[in-house]
Amino acid sequence: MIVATIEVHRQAEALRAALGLTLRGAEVTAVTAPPASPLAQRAIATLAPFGHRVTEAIDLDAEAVEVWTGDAPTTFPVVHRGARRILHVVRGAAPPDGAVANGDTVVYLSGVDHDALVALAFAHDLVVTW
Amino acid sequence: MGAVKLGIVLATRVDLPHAVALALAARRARHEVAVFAMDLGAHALAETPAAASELLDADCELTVCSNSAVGLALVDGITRGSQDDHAAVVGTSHRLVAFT
Repeated sequence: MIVATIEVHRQAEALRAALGLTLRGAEVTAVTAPPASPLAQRAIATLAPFGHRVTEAIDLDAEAVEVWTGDAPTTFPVVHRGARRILHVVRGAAPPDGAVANGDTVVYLSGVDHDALVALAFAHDLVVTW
Repeated sequence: MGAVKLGIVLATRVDLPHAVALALAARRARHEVAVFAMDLGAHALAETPAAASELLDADCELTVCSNSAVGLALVDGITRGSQDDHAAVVGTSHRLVAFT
């Protein structure tokens, strides 16, 4: 869960979603700026004691990634990306440095052929929508 | 490729058209599709009932976070769910596309 915004409501919702993802046993990493609200703080305080990571660096070695956007964007460094072949779907800002590696594909959502996008999604190990 | 499932998480308004187009494309490819909407995505679906109906008519599983859907009128067929459903979509999909 990459919380790429410091907009108060969106950060809180993203962290609520991160907490939700733990409900079926997934190991969750939340990448976020410091909490901007009591709700965000509470979500972080619930994640950490249960062994989920809260960090300010992106590790793309994951089975699923959600990048939450908002009106006050923020960025984080990519510190690890593993060996997965990633399909990067770009809505606005380009993926951060280090996110794209050999074997990855970058597509821009604007003007995309959605049938081709489906095929690309299943031809890669992971889809990250920036 | 055998039967595979595409999961879509929608938490924005602006990405609704792409989420719908992607879901329909996946259905044309005979993939199973499950959509979970929350926050602004729930509002987008409530504001655009035609889009919601299109997804349901295409046999997409469509669940909206009840917390996000408080006070929203949703098309019949949409499941009012929870973050557990979010976890289920993410955990059971072969690929996840998150418009968040």
